[in-house]
Amino acid sequence: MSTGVSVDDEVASTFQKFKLQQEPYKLRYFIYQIKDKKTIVIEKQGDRNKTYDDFVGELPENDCRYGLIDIEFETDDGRPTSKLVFISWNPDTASVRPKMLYSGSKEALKSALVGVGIHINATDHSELDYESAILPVVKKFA
Amino acid sequence: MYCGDETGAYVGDVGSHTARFGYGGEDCPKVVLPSAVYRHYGGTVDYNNDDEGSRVKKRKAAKYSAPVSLLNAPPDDCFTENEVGFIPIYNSMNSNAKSSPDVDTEALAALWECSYQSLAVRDRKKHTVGPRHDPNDTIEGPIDHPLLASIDPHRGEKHHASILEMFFESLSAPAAYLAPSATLSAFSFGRPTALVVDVGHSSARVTPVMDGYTLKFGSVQSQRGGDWLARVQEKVLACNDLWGDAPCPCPDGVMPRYMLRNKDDNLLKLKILKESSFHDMSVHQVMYEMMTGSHVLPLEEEESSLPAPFSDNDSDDSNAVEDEEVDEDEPMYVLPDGTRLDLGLTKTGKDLRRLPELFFSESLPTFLQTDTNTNSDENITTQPLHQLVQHSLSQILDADIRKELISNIILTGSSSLFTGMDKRLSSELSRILPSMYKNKVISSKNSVENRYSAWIGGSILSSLGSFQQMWLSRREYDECGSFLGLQKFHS
Repeated sequence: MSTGVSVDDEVASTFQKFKLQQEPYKLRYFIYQIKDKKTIVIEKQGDRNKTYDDFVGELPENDCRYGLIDIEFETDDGRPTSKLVFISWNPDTASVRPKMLYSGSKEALKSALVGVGIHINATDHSELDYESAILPVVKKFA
Repeated sequence: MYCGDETGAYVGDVGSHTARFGYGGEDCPKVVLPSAVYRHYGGTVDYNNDDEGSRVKKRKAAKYSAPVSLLNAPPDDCFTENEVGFIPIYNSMNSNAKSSPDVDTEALAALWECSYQSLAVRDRKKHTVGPRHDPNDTIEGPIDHPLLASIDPHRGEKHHASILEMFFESLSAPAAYLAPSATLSAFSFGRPTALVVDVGHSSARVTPVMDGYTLKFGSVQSQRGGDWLARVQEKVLACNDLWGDAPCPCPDGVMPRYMLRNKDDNLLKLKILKESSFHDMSVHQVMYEMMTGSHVLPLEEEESSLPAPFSDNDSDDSNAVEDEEVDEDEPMYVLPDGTRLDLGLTKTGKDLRRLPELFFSESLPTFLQTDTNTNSDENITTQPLHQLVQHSLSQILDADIRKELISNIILTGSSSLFTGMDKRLSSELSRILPSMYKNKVISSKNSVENRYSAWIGGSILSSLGSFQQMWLSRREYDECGSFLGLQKFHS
């Protein structure tokens, strides 16, 4: 069941370039927002020199967002690698309406972001913690 | 509120105890009715005008109305010689009445119709500003609100198809949508993937929801819902064996409120009523009030060292316990008919204070075990809540999904409002599930959100601008019929 929210064209086109790290989309992350309860658009983007913590800092406290971030890490055998992670930020402190909207529209966005294998659902800051929550999941898929 | 919302949706969530209705976009349902209708026999035949273009069907001779409350006996014209026209929509699994698995769609249509009356759904002039020139001039026409209903995936395709048919044929809706109530509850908590534990009236249901889709093979039900607990309490109050030397408080059964108000009614009427489901529902009302009274102790987080309530022990012991452990605050409860229950004195009285404990007790006391239900459906069990969750999870073979479900357990439903239930469920699950899974039980502190979470989910869904393309319109239904129409909801 979905909510019928559509994905903006800009999202799909910038995603392709982001995947290939082409200029001017040599970025670290995107933050997506649902505008006017109808379309998913890009709210913010972060430069390559920004970190995961910058990404977390840009997420609002009491409202929901979607995020796509390129995480660089070392696998267990020591290879440096990077993976794209889709994060659904749905804090418990948000009101019911945005929570409903964002959870129902997640599928639409996921299908537009082709090839992103790692999906994380975060409902508070402890679930966004890099060391304890994100990294183990990412490493499993590496 | 957005202006021009004459075509806002109408959302209905019909459960086994209450039915919730209201306009989409609102925060809580404006109309909450008991899930039953009165059927009036005889009287005048009621036909609707066959206007050009109006598709309202002629009503049959039996007229229906909705009981607003169960405090008074049904009106006189509901009685025939040997039965009363009180039709519950969903027969409780526990009831002794012959329960047919098929829901009476005529009664269901009547319930929806009755809810329209309070909100003036059919009145097309309700949004006109200014005085009406003729107060009797309200246009009763076909509704122009699309209808959204919540459904229970356990009931099967045939039932859902008949609801869809009812919407388009009897209620002449312009568009409709059916959504599983577990998905709506999960979305209203902001989680597209969750294990929804809905402790309702007729049963406790555990339904895994993955990205908005309910998984059928993981969906399990248990009899232990609010209705079951109310019956247990009723049995305890009426059972002589449990009270030791003293007589039980209600030797003739618990007296519901309508009996007090209608004492002067003729005896035959009361006799008919006593054997009907109206009586059952009224008694439950009294029992629900008792279960939510202040004498009920909050559930402890860890299973206490005390034995389960009402478990057998030597009758000698119960007398010995009496002297030492009389509760300090002398709790007592007064039933509507004046019967005073002193709950601090006997063991059974003290156990009544720990009633919600029965949701988690693994073995049932003997006086309950004899009352096994005759329903042989494998999916319906009498497992305690934590085991039910475990059973549901065991049907899910993918470890990653299981992990995600365990960390997103939503506890909802009116019978989950007992204090401490979420913490207790969490600690019981930590005990029986493998320790690598960290469980998280989420429940709303706000009782409105718990009781009406599926309705609220439906309300918000129907009010989304982007959702308007998802409705199954009248035209589509006319082309493909109800079964194919159902497929649209799964895409």
